[in-house]
Amino acid sequence: MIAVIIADLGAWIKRGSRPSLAIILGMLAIIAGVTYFRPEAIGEIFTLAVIWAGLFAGEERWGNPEVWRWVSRGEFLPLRVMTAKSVAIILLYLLLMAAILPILVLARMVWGVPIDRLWLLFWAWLMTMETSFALGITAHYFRDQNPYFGSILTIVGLVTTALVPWLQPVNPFIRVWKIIGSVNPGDQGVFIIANLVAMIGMLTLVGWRLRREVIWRLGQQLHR
Amino acid sequence: MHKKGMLLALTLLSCLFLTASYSWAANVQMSVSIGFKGYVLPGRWVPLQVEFKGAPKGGTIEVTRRSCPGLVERYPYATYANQSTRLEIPFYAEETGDIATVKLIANGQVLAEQHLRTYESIFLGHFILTLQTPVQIGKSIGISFSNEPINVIPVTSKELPAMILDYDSISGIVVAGSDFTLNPAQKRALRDWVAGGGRLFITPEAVAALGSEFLAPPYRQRAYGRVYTLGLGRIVCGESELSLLPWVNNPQLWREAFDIAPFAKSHRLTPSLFELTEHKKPLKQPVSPWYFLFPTLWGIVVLSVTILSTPKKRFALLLASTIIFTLAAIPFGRYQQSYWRRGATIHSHLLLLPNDEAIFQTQIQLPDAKIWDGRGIAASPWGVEIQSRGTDSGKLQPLFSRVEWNHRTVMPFCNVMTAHGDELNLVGCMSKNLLNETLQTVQNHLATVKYEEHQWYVTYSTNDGDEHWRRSRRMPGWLIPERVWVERATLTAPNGTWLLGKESIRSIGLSLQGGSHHQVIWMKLITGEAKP
Repeated sequence: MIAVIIADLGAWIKRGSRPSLAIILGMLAIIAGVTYFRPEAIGEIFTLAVIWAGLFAGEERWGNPEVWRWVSRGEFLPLRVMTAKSVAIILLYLLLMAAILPILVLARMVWGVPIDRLWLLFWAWLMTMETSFALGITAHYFRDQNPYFGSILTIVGLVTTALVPWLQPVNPFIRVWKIIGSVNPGDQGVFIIANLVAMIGMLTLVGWRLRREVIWRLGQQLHR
Repeated sequence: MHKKGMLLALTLLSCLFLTASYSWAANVQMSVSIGFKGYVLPGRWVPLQVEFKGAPKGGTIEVTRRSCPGLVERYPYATYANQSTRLEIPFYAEETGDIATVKLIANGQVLAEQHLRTYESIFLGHFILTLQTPVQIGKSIGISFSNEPINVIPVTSKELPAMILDYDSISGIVVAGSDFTLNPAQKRALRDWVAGGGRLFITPEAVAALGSEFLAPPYRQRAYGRVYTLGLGRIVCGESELSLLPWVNNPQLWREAFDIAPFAKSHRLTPSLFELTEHKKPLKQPVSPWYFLFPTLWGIVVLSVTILSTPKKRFALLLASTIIFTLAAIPFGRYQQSYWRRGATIHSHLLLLPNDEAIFQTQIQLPDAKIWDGRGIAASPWGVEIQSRGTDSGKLQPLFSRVEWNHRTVMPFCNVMTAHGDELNLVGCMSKNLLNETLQTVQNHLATVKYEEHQWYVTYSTNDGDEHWRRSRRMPGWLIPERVWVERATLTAPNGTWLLGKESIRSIGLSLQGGSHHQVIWMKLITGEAKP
């Protein structure tokens, strides 16, 4: 499991860190300058950033293809690999949070967002990134030659949860806005649980698909 | 058996804990009164007296009001074993009536709670307090001013207020006898009240108990006694015993001794002069003009590191730049928040009393929360934190419609007049020793105007550097929003000469997010004090 984490993070550092950090940090620098470190603006832009980063990580834009060879050879169980990748996403999230720390500190000092709200934001962003990662990995295995399948799924998911009233508590943008700017931040538990269920559901689906492929390949090898 | 034993022990412990909690509440006795013997003059400050016994140490008295939802004021108290504790809290009685809730809170529990209605005993007229005075004298005073609403209220020495705010509704005080003691705070507040236009009548026996500093020469001799002037007020020292017939049967004596104007035209320099000024929608507080340098510099550095460095060096460099910029963000953030003050605007007025004391009012507002309207960034909905002279502190939080004000001493520097989620009005008193020395020399002549005999004068400089006064046809523009309280103050001495100015007075000591610089409009009577 540690090997997968190291492999994935290493691949991101080599291939994904430059574009992802450049875009995320550049956007935040512009927004912070234009809006005077306004917390809502920074919060929503970073939400977009974690969705994008999670999705691209899930779609293996920056992943290590060696990992999936290990899976197809039966060396690693798909479930263990996806768990390891989820942990790698957490580490990636922490790296991004560390990178934007100066701007978060200024947003807190200049505007006075309460610390408990920042803590809620931390967990909301983490859950969002994990869910978009799960969406990305699902799109990667079910996309059927469509390279934009993941992005389409994400946009459909965001629009649907924004428009349907009883789904709004699980929309990450609405959730972040409510945490930062509302008198009552609402129930964080609903957001976490709904996203956790969606994430586990999607990863289970991918795991099932991968097991079928692994069993089929192993069967082919035995046949030979 | 082991599990049953644990359960029994837990049950016993819970019972003990509940009993202990209950026993604190059962032992605390608290009584609260407002005004003087329950009488309140609406639109003025009155004392809220809280007396309690049996409370544990380290608690607070919490006061809330129906007229200011969301406002919580907290006062500390000191307790002494088996003795009752008394706390005097200046309370602004709204003209439309109010309900005050007083709670005694200790160890996270409400140990006592009481509600008071200010509109149950309203009296619209002069309040005359009598201390150690025969009953017939009180009746005689009441008869003397039969055409005026007069409420003569006998008080004890401990009921005499120790804070100038609580003298707001008092027009006159009669002190007789010598069997009482006033503490230094009460004597000081009494002097300040007289200087602002109060009328104090004392007997020769009372002089010893009050202290001779009250009777500083010169004086004028009248039929009813010696009259000393102190600022806009007067102290009459009666020559004869109050029990003698002239004081009981001759109403004219009291009218001459007090010389109180009719209630509707009665004007004194009191804290209630500071009627809340209706400022136009306050201008937004400007942000620091170079604030964008930080995110720009940060963006350039991190982008350069990200794009130009190799993967191996990238994270080390990013880590280093994150540490440097995070550390730099702290002083930069402090500067930004002290400059911008979360968008809060602050207006202060200072009224210098004739005896070298001053009363001030400060209005802190958070403008409306439109994000950007071309004149500046909207104020923070999470509000602003306020420090007062390093002792009292508070928070204004419009998003939560909440205002908190925490006093750290039993004699606070300032008190809350009114408060709503986006506005806080404080009134306080300070000695002139604390004021900025520039007030004494009045150096900022461009901001200084004179009001004399219903005429405004402004200063101008000649070529040789001398400054002179020039008549102005109207009130200066910067004073027009302050017109109401300025006109009310000038009524206390209509023929007097007033000096007004606008300066930064740090000694008011109010700090918003660490920023303490703000303009204060001050006013001082330089001639025209009351004549005996």
